[in-house]
Order: sequence, then structure tokens, then C-alpha cells
Amino acid sequence: MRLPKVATGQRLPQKALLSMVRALSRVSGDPVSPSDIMRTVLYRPELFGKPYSELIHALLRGPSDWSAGERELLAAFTSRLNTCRF
Amino acid sequence: MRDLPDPDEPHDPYAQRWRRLEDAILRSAGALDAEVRAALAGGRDIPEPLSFLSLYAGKVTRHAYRVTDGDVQALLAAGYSQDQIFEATLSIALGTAQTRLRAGLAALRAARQENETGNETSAEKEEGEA
Repeated sequence: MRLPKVATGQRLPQKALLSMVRALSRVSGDPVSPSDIMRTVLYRPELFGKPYSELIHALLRGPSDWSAGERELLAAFTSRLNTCRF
Repeated sequence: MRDLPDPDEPHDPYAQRWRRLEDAILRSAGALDAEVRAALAGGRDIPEPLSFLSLYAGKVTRHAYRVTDGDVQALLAAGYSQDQIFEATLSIALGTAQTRLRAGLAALRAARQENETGNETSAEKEEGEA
């Protein structure tokens, strides 16, 4: 499911970042285009992406008894239970 | 034993970031009124003329993976703007995430309490045996 605006209607700095990701993925031979989650985080970042990234970074990389890998595993398992690819 | 995180507790290391995210999604300038966004996040019914969003909210809350292009098309056809749909989706997802987080933490607290009570009982028993 994609909202056309989220896929293409980014503002200039976000557009630049997305095209850079596309260019880099061509160089690396990785055909993956910028993921939908990245587009979602970049679309209107003051409404969602910025505070969301700050929370996620603290949860996954901040001080914790759990290693970053363990936390990623917990997140991946939870996503799997939600039938979510991310 | 360390305290469990509590997003409702101001001293929780993540509470401040949760609040910032909540403020941004529910209360920053947007295409949907803050009251509508709060109702979507709280799982409350949306008054007319936006009640169509309640159907979408139910789907995103219970099984987001079943949301299809058709659902988004239906919302667009019903006259919602893309930014309204974007904000509605985020509000619903935030509310759902908070509900699940609280439920998970409550379950952990209950399990820990049960465990502590159980340990006390077995400790008393051991004392009795000695």
C-alpha cells in the first residue's frame, strides 16, 4: 500500500536523499530501491520521521542490558508475529 | 531487579521520546483535526462526516498487513486527502503500539510479581525443612 505523495511527493532535501540512495544502490550493484519505510520516515519528518527515528535509535542502540543484536532479533520476531516484513 | 520501563512514568528513559513522538503525530499542524487524530489513537468512534475512517482504523489496528491499495483507494474516493490518510494511519498505529506496549509491560509485571511471590513461598518451605 502506497500513498502516491509518500512515494514521490517528497520535499527537496528528502528527494535529494532518496535519489542518492538510488545512485548508491546502483553503484553497489544492489537493485533495491529506497524502501517504503524510508519513504515514510522521510515524508513530513516533523510529523513522524524525526521523533520516530529518535525513539527507535534510543530503543535499539541506546544503553541497555540487551545487545543491539538481541534487540534487533526481538524486533524482527515481533514483526514476524505481526506479519510485517520490517 | 531493575524496574520495567513505563511510558507513563516521567523518569522512564524512553518516556520523553514517546511523548515527543505522540505530540508530533497527534498535535502538530496537520490536515486532520487534533481531536480526530486523538480519537483514532484512542480507538474511539469518529463523528460524521469522518466516520468512514473508523472502518480503516479497525483494520489497521487488528491486522495492518491486510490493508490493501483498495482500502487506500476507497479513502481517496471518499474524499480524504493523502495527508489526511497519512496522519490517520500514523495516529492509529501510534495508539495501537501504545496499547500493545502497555499490555506487554502489564503482563511482564504480573509475571514478575507471581515469580517473586512463588520464590518467597519456596524459601519459607526450605526454611521449614531445615
